[in-house]
Amino acid sequence: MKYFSKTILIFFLFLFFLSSTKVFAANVFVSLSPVVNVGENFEVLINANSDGILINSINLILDYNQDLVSFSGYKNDDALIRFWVDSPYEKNGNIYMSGIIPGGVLGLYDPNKKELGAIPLVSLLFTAKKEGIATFSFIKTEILKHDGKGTELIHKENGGEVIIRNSIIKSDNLNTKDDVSDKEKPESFEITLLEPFVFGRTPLMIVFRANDNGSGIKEYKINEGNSVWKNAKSPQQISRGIFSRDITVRAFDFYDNFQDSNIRIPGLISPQFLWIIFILIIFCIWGYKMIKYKYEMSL
Amino acid sequence: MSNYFLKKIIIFSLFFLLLGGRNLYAQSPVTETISVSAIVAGETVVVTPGGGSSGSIIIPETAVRFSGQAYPNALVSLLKQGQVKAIVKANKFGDFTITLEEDYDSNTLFSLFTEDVLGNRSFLINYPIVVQVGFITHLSGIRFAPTITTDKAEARFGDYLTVTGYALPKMEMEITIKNVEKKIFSFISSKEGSYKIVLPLALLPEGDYVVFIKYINDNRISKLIKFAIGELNIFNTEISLNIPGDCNADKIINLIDFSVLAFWYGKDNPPLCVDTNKDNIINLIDFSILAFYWTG
Repeated sequence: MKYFSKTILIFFLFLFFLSSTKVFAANVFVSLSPVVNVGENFEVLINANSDGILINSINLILDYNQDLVSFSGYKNDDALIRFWVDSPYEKNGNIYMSGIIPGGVLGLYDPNKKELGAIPLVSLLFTAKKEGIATFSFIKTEILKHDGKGTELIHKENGGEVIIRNSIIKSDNLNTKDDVSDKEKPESFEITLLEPFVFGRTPLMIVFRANDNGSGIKEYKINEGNSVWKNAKSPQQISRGIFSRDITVRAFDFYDNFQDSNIRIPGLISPQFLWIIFILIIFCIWGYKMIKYKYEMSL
Repeated sequence: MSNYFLKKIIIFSLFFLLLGGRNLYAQSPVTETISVSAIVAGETVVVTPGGGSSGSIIIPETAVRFSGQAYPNALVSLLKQGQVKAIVKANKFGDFTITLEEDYDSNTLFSLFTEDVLGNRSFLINYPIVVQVGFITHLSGIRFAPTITTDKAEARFGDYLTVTGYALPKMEMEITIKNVEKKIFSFISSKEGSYKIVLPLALLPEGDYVVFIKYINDNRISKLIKFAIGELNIFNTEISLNIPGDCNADKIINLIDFSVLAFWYGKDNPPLCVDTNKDNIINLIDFSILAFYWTG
């Protein structure tokens, strides 16, 4: 009887844990080639499986082996995060990134699959430096639901690893990506002037968003009419000068290719206004001289 | 004693399994009946629904097609990577079909939104699709939630709130008023797709509420409209629709609003219109709320 009870207990405990596994069906994971050669560039695709729940925001910190691989950018095509709060950047051996998918997303629709596929969030690019096994693991993962409240999605995370071989001859069997060195400059982009709202506290700003399919946008620099290039980030607060001036924003990709875009910022005094003032002064001088002339004539 | 203890554990386990073991951490998944298929391209087909167009057309070699239901005579816009690529008009039943030629093989983010005949926009719906060269990838079964507008930003205690909008014709819908508790009203849209319902607020205490609408047996909800029950009736005007994050009050949530939010990200004392959840901090949650209300 006791044996029977224990068997039933184990059975139910088994069912209990089996059912609980459903809880963490949502996950964020990396997918990458299993083997690359030294000197090769490769992609690390970060995916999310939201378990049938609409999501719209992510905040991730990815740890990697700095001695074996170096971060060389990110790719926009094939991945869904386009609106970056913080575009992927490297700091102390970690990659930081956060962004949104306006409208939210449920999964990838693939006619060859019966179920929704994992959501491709971002494709990071790395270069293999040295022989070894490089690991990629998450330090922080935050996924928010598309529910109008920003509720966090309960999920688990899975890192990945890649074997780096010191091979001179590239084997056809190796499942590595093509060389992704970026020689193309970023696509042309527009700058939008954002006037302060009436009674608002948000200042005069310019907004820009460049796109680079090769390696992603690394940084922006701004030149406000002089020879000094300063670091910039959209939105960039600017001051309104007395006169109108041209501002240039330069978008750099991770291979230092760049693309420029210009905008004319209207000043407090426009050329038309100056012309009106000039005409008024001329008119006043002429009027004064006319009055003076008539006065002298009357004497 | 041990037998008694074992029995208790078994009963607890059974209770857990039967009454929600699987839903302990329920995250309310969206259940949609969207089907995606790929058919070999190149044949001549007849396009009938939507767009008001008919007749034979040659379907391009590689294409994506979206079909589903919006509202009668609504305009449905298709965006590719955030850029508008096509706009079609739904027919009088609300059915639409959009076909867009594609030229390469990749994962592409397509988005759709619709505008009812009064110009009220639906939410944006995203479909990232694996496009295959030589195939028409067809996504069918899309259904937009109804549009919704209210007559008041604040209703006097015990007064009424009028909710109007557009939906599919003669559809069963339910409207929900929610703060701590929620109140649900069911009704059917007209044969033209319009609806107007006057909701009694007599039993609801003063406070902040949201109201939204959805089709019965559908999880996709409309926009959430905020309103308050207080001492006065304050009617909605054209310039004030109380959309979170819409600081320039243009009724559109787009890159401009994103940029304003990004400016205040991590800064102290943000303006009220930017702080979408009113917690005096601008963080990822505010961006998530902005992404929820995004119209493009």
